Amino acid sequence: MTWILGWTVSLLAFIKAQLVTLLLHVLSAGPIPRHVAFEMDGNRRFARLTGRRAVEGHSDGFIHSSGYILDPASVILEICMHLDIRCVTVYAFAIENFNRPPDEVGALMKLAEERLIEIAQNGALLSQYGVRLNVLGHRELLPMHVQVAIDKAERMTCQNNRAILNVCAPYASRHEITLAVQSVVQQALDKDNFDSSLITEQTIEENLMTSLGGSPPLDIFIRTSGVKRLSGFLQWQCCENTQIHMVNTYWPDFGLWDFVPILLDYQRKVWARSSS
Amino acid sequence: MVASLFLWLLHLLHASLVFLTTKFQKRRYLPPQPVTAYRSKLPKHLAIILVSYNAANPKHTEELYLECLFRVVKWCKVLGIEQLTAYDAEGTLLGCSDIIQERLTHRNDMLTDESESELEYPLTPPLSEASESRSHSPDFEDFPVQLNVTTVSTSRKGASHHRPREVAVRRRAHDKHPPYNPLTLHIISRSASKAAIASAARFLLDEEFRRRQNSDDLDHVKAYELPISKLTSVPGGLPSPDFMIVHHIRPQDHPPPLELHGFPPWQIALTEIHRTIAHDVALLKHPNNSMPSLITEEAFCRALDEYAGAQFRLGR
Repeated sequence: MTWILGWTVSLLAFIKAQLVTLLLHVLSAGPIPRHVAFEMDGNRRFARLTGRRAVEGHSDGFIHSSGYILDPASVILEICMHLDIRCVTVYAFAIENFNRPPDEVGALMKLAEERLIEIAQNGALLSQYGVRLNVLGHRELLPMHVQVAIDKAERMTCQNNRAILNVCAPYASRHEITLAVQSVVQQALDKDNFDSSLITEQTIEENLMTSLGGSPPLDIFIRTSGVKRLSGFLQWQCCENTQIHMVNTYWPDFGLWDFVPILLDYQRKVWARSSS
Repeated sequence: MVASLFLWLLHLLHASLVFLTTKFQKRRYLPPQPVTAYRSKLPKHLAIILVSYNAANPKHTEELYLECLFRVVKWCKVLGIEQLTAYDAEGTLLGCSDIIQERLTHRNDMLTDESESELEYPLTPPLSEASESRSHSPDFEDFPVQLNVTTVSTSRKGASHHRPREVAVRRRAHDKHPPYNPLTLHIISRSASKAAIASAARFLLDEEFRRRQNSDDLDHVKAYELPISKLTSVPGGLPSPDFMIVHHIRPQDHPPPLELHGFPPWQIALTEIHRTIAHDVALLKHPNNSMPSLITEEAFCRALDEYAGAQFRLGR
C-alpha cells in the first residue's frame, strides 16, 4: 500500500509541475515585465507564527513540488527565468538593518556568505538561465569575508548575459541617489569644458546602481507581509510607471499563485496603454 | 495562438474573481471610524496624490481636484494635521494655486466672526504661471534650486489649539464650527520630483567648480564627495510625508495596481501608502456618462484607520 501511496504522490507532483509549466507558457503569450523587484518582508513574523526563532525565518525553506527543499527566493527566481523576465531585484539587507540585534545581524551575514559561496561554487540556477549577479549597495559596510564572497560570486557570473539578478545589500535608496548625483558631478568636473545644463533626470537615472548594472526600468514592485511602505527600496525607480503591489502574504509563503495575478495586472496595463 | 486563447481565458477568470471578491467585500463592508474618533497615531504630514486618467476635460478635472483638496484641507485642520502636500503629476493644482489661496482665505475669513483666526499669507507670492520655477522657502536662500512648489500657510493667532493626539476630540452639540488648527499646504507637481534632484545636481556642480577655481591647494585632484546630509536638505525642500493617500477621481471597476505617478522619490522612504477604495468614494453623475469620484470622509477616515494600525520597525 505504501508504494501505491508514494506512486500516487509522485504522479500528482508530476502533473502539478506540468500544469505549472503550462501556466507559465500561457502567461508568456502576453506581455512580460522586463524588471520585477521584490521586498522580501515577513521572514521573522513568519518564523514567530510557526514557532521558530526569527533567525531561522530568514533561511526557512519549503518543499517544492519536485520534492526538493528550495527557498522562496529560488522558486520565484526560477519562475521569473521561465517567463523570461530579464531582471529581478531583491532587497536582501537595508543599511538600517544594522540596527537589529547583533546576533541576528551576525546570522544574516553568515547566511549571506553561505549563499554567495554556494553561488560561486555551483550557481546551478544562475548558470542554467544565464543570470548575471550584481550585488548593489554600500558594500564597504559588510564584513570582509562577505565582501570576498560577493566578489567571487559576481566574477563567476559576469559572463552571463541573458538575465540579471540584483541583490541589494546593504542598500538604501537615498544612498544610491546621492552616489548617482556624486558620480554625475564628478564626471562633469572631469571634463575640461562642462555644461551643467546637460545634467538631467536621465543623467542621474543612468548613474543609479541598477542602471549601471544594466537593469531596465522597473515595471513591478512587490512587497510582502502587508507593510505598505517602500522602506528605502528603489524609491527613484518605482515612483513613476511602476505598478506597486503590497501583498499580505509573508515572504516564505509567497509563490506562484500570489505572483500570477500581479503578472495579469501588468499585462492589462500594457494592453490598455497600447490601445489608448 | 492556442496559448493566446488560454491567456484570454485566464484573464477572464481573473477578472471574474476580482468582480466576485469586490461584491463579497461590499456585502461585508464595515464603515471606518468617524474623523474625530480616537486614533493611536495621526500623521504630522499627510500627502495626497490626485490622479485622473482622462485628459479630455481638464476644466472638469481641475474642479474635481480642487474640491477633493478643500475637503482634505478641512479634515486636516479639524484633526490638527500640521502639513499637507497635494500632488498631481500634470500640475493642475499648481496652475490654480491662486484660486486655492483665495478660497482658503475666504474660508478662513468666515471664521473670523466667531474666532480670532488670522490668515498668514504665504512667504512668497503665488505663481503667475504654472511653468515658472522658483524656490518658495527661506531654507532655499542658501541653496537655490529650481522648483515648482507653492506653500500656503493658515494659522490662528492668539488661540491655543494644541490638542494632544492621544485625547479624543469631543464635539459639543451646539458647536457650529469645529476648531481649526494651523496647516501648511504644499502644492506640487512632477516638476518638484526628479527634476528637483537634477536641479540640485547642477547647483552642486557649479558650486564645486567655483570652489575649486577659488581654491589654492590641489583640491581639484581629489574625488568629489557628496554626503547624504547635504542632498537631504535639497530636493524640493519638502519634508517627507508620514502618510500618503492616492485617490483616483475616475475609479474603475477593476482598479489598476497602485502607482505613485512621479511623486518626489527622495521623500518617500518611510511614507505609509494608501489608496482609496471604490466603495468609499462618492460617485458623481456627469453629463458625459462618466462617473468621477470625490474623496469622501469615509475614504479619508479609512486611510487614517489604516495608518493608525501600521507598525514602524525602522530596520529593526
